Formats: sequence, structure tokens, C-alpha cells
Amino acid sequence: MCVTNTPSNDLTKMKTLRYLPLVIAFVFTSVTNIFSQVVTSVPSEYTDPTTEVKILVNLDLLDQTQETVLNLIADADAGLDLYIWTWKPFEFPAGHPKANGEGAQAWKNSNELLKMTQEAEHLYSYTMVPTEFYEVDAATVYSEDIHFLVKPKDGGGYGDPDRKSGDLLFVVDPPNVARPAVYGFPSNPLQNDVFRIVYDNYKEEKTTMQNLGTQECYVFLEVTLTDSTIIRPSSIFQVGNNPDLQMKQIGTGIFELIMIPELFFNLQQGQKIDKLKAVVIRQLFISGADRVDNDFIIDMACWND
Amino acid sequence: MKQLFSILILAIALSFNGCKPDLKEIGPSYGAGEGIYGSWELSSVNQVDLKQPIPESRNISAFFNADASRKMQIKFEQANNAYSILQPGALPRTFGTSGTWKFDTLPFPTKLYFFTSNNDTVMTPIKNMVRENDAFFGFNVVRSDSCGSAYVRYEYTFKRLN
Repeated sequence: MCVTNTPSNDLTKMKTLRYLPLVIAFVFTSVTNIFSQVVTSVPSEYTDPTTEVKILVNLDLLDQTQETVLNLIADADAGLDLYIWTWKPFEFPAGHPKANGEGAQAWKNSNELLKMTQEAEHLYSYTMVPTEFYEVDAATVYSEDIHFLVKPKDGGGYGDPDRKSGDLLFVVDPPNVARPAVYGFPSNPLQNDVFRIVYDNYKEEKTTMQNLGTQECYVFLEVTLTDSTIIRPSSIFQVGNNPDLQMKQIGTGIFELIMIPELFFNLQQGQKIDKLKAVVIRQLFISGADRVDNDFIIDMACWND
Repeated sequence: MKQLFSILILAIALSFNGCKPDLKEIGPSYGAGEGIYGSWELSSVNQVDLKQPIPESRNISAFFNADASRKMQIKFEQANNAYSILQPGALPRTFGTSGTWKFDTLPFPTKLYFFTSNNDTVMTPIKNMVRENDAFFGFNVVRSDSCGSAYVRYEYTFKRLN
């Protein structure tokens, strides 16, 4: 089929081309939003709201199609101080020392306590311990996160153009505390600590190791000392005959072996453990099907000065 | 008649007011921490893993109750504020074999210091301010790794022996 250019087609093309910059801008904005964040923090992996965090805001990454944002950046460029204005996880009421603003027109008179620190051009920070700053517990910070915006002391309004960022969010999530099927408690013991190796058979994904009987769970142990000596109470095929290596059931599907490593391995004065390896197995160990897939290894080298 | 009845009621009320008991001496106040003197044996232990993102606690008393020789025994003496380890048990040998002890800020102490004969100083937050009639007393010990980072806390409770 032959298509010829007609005036009507040209008009359509021109209309389409007119939106091209907008389309490019939209795609560009979407891509930059994916690969960069307006709000970041130090430390970057922040999971404990009872500790200090520096929340950073990069003005360059704000939505600069908004007039309020352009006003904010203009104020920053003019050397005006910037402030946070925050309402979650808790907003202090008017008159409180930590209220967002002071006086009858709070929006036009930010609280000096909330002044941000300029880290670099268009990069501002505010440092806080969230539970102390908001006077809430950690669970509240986890559930509500930190909501705020950035503004100059006078945020406009009352007939003047607003000067502010959009609403910003700093997400605070609890750490991942999921344990593997085999773990130690405490997680980093010294060799003279009380130490337990725990096996949660309910978490076992290897079908040949599932549903262990009460008396069936044993553990192969091996320690490597700092002088490279290796101590094994029993070879892996003899573990099932050594009652000291039986893991006792302490709950449904949960087994443990509790020890003080230096006593358990009968260490002599001056001997130090470098690594401890544990492999949970069935009492009757015949092949790889009768053991968990992953070795549990604790590196004690830096714990035994 | 009514007037006589009212006077009678008033007289009874006034007589009850006169029955207010006299305040008596309740004896001398307890000296802070004076109940610490004597011998104590480990009764229960909690272990707190401080390296977890959210510190986690386990009761490990059963390990010590399984064998009496695993239980630490300690004696606090009044003379010279001396202490001695009667039986080290299976706990980390934090306190050496003997030394001296001292409470922090009297009269409201919150910590107990051990000055071991090895010249170590061990600071232990106390769980309760022990009185002479208290059968149990406890303190916590935080252990640090070779880099100085706290990794575990033992929460000890002792039972009075004598």
C-alpha cells in the first residue's frame, strides 16, 4: 500500500511531534527515579531507629516540573536555610518545642530545631535518632516510617506562592531476622562461652532430612585450631555412636546441642579455636541424603585474642 | 427528739475521730546493698545475643542445673570489701579467683564493680539492690570481643547460701 503525504497527515505528525519532548521527559524522569533516590541515608542500610541516622535530600532529583520545587531550589540558591517539616511518625502540636513552625503562621516561620545542614550544592541533611526525636517506640517508626518535606523558613502560602518539596518518605524497615535451619546462639561466641547449636527441622527443605525422630538427630563437629590442628570428636560415620553428639529435642522439631567449646573439645591451655564446623546428620549416616546440605561454620579467629 | 438524735450522731462521729492510731517507730532503714554479704550460688542465667539485629535472649539455666559443679559460687565479705570465687563453675572466668568489690554511687547504687586479683575491672549493672532478707540477687555481665564490641550479655541470678 502506498501512502502519500497529505496535508492532513502532516498535521497529525506535527501534533504528535509536539508531545515528543513531554514523552522524552516522562521516560527520562521515570528512569532517573528508578536509578536514583531523592531521599537517602547514612548509614545506607538503616534498620535500627534507636540509633542515629543522617537523612539526605538531593534537591536536584526533586520533581522540577512543580513550581513549588523551583521556588525551593531558588531559595536554596539564594543561600536561604532549609528546614524539614515532618508529620509522621508523630507530629508535635503547635506550641511544642519540636513543633514544625512557630507562631500563628507556623508555615511561614519554621522551627530552628528543624534546620537542615547543607552537605553540598543542592544536597541537604538532617540527623536524628528517630525514636528520640519523635518520642515514639521503634515499632511505631517501623509501621509509620518518616514522612516529611523540605522548605525554607518561610514556606510561602497566605497569598504567596508555596516554596517546598513534594512529600518525601524515608522508609525504616526492621532487619531481616529470619534464621536458617541450623544456627548458633550466641551468634559469635568465644570458646569459653556457653554456646548452643540449634537445628529447626521444620525449616528443613531437604526431603530426606525432614521429620526426624526424637532420638535421630546428631551433629558432626570439627574444630580447626589456630595452629591448624583439627579436632573431631568422631568421624562422620561414627557420630551416631557418640551420645555426646546427639542433639536433644527441646521443642517440636527443634533440636539443640549445648556446650562450652573449650571444655567440649578438651582444649589445653593456650589452644585457640579458629573455626568450628557443624553438620547435622541422621544417627544412621550412610550417604549425603542423611545430612543437611549446608555446613554450619563459625569463624572464631578474631574472637580469641 | 430529732435534735437529741443529731447530737448523739455527732458525739459518735467525734469519738471515732479520737481513735486515730499513734505512729510508731518502724525500725532503722535498710542500708543500701548490705544484704550482699555472704555466700551465693548461681540460680539462673539468661544469655542475650547482642550481635543480633534485635538482641535475643535465651534461658540457659538448665545447662547449669544439670550439673551442680557447673554453678558458680561467690562469697562477698564485709571486711575490706573482699570477694572470693568458691566454685568457678562453667561460666566464663570473668572474675578471676578473688578480689575486691564496690558499689557505684551510694546510697542508690546501680552497678557493682569487681576489681580482680588479675587487675581487671569488671562493671556489672545490678538487677536488684539486695537486702538482708533477700534470698536472690543478680547482676549482668557484658562480654566484648577482641575489637571491643559487645557481643553477649549474661544475666545472672544468685541464690543465697548463707
